[in-house]
Amino acid sequence: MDLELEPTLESIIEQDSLKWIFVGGKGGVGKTTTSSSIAVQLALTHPQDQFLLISTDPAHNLSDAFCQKFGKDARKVEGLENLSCMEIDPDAAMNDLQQQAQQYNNDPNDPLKNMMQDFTGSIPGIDEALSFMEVLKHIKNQKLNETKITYKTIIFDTAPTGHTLRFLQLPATLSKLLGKFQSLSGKLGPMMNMLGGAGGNPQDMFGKLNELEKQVQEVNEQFTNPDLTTFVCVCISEFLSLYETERMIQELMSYKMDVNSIVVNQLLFAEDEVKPCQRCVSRWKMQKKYLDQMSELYEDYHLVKMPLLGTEIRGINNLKKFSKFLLKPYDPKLDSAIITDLEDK
Amino acid sequence: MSEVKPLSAEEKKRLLRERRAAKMAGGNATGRLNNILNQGSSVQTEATSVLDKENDTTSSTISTGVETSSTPRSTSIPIHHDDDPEIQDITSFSPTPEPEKVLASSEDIDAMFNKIFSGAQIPTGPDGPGGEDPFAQMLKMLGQPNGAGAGAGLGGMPEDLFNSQGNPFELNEEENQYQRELAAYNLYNHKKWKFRFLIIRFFLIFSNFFYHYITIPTFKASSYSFIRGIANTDSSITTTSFITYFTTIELITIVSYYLTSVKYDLFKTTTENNIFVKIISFGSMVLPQLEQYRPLLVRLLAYYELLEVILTDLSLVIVLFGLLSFL
Repeated sequence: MDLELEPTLESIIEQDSLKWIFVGGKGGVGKTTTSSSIAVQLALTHPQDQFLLISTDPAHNLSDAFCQKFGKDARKVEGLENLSCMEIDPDAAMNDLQQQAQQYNNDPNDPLKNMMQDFTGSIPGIDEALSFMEVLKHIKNQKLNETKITYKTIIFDTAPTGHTLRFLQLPATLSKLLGKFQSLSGKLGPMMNMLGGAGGNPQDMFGKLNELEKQVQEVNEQFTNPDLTTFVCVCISEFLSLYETERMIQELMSYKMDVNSIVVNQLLFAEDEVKPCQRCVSRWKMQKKYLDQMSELYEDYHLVKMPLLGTEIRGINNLKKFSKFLLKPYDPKLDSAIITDLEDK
Repeated sequence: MSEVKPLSAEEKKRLLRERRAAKMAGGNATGRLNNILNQGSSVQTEATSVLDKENDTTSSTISTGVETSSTPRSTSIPIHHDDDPEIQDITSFSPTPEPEKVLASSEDIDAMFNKIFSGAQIPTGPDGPGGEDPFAQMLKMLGQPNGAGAGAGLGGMPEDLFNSQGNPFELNEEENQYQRELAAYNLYNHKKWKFRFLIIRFFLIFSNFFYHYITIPTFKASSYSFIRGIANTDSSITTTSFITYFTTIELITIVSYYLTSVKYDLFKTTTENNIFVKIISFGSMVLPQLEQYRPLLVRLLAYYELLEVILTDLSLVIVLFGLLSFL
């Protein structure tokens, strides 16, 4: 049975059914570069379709990666008409939610108001979930020339590992939390009503949370469908990154999410250089050790090896040059020109 | 010999997914993590995979799922680790548990609830104690152990509210024990200091009384003013000196008792268990403004205890003079 896997993201780029692609990994491994590259390749491969790249990381980098200012509304990338980008601010979404809550309750002395704020703020993953709600809201409202844009695939440039995983565990946490709250409200129901005053706020609060849970649950169903969603892990060839990647893959599997591709960034391929520096050779030796380990651990995954370039990969032209190695494996003998070939930004 | 059909892309993806899941099954996930740790010479030597943690708790669920599955499949997970697992479709006994079970453990939720409820601040009176969340206050009040006078007032709420199945406000046994012992110690400390001052006061009052009784032959108690007047004829010691000494003793002991109580926080035990404080705590849930009267009430209760001291001493003096009137 032929189950050999090519070391590229071709299957993802060419898969028609995919609606959501998450790109995640430890901090500083090149998530934004990888997600931008995937988005660029998708846009180049399917010129007739629209794609959207969204950053949910509070520390947004997309604007810098494309050398173009993006905001909370989707904006087209200059030089690639079928790709749009947006940067979501989770704090803004949280403020919106709290402002909505204030509409029901204007009493500054109401203890339940503070409790509600603390409550919403303390739910693990709520900021990421709100980002996602914000995304859905924006996509829904996004219209261009009275014609609604339908994105074929939405790519998420996520925040470092912990944040993403918290988001994915939100539906379960929320149901559990609501269960607790409801059992509590059974015991302390009359008192809660007294606390809430005349507005019947506890009911509103439960209603809102139930609504949120329902929405998140629906989203979660899509995320656990491998035909609709996939997660691309990004790492570098070092111990901590490898460990974090394995931990993340296992956790994603526990959420029934599909992970079939791993992008290893910043590889030196020093042995193929004409005059390799001592530091590069030493570091490449270390990288190879972990690459070998990865090859063993991830033989059933698309393991994409990406080179470390001489300059930063910024701007659409550089991204186009770099991203082609997501589809065609980088060959240090043939493709080494790219190391110094990028435009300065 | 039949010709093997080439796999479709979808089929291939499905098989790979199953193969990846199978490689994580049966404790292999933890093995993989530990393998990475070992090869990376990490100081961390033991890691447990989230998949294996859940396997332990959900094994019964998994086996049930297999039994009810419409497609009969083997439930055994291969113990040999070759590249091609015997079982290709592991959906019926997939090690991937329900997210609900994986994620939020009860402890996490409880910790979160505690954080939420203890973190809220009520904007009430300017004094410190008013700035607590009603839930936290209620818990504090209701959570007082039985030994610390919890029977008083409204403290007799059902204890199962706090430690029964999965209650978010559940205190663990150790913490409960500590709180009980702390309350008992505070009560003991309070009684100890009260007793010490009682001995000192009684000693001084008796000394004062007997000094006057011995040194003034005309030191008499009577309801008749002319008998009391006899005593005033003695010019060396006036009978008013008794009340002067008594007042001085009272002043010194009460001030000392007050300062000691403040230093060792002795009033807290009395005020916490007081029915009026509990009523204010409960009432503040309905009417948060009530909280601003709590510091005033606490102060009044402290003064009341001092007044008790004076009244006790006066009672003793009255008894002594009553006895003297018979002589």
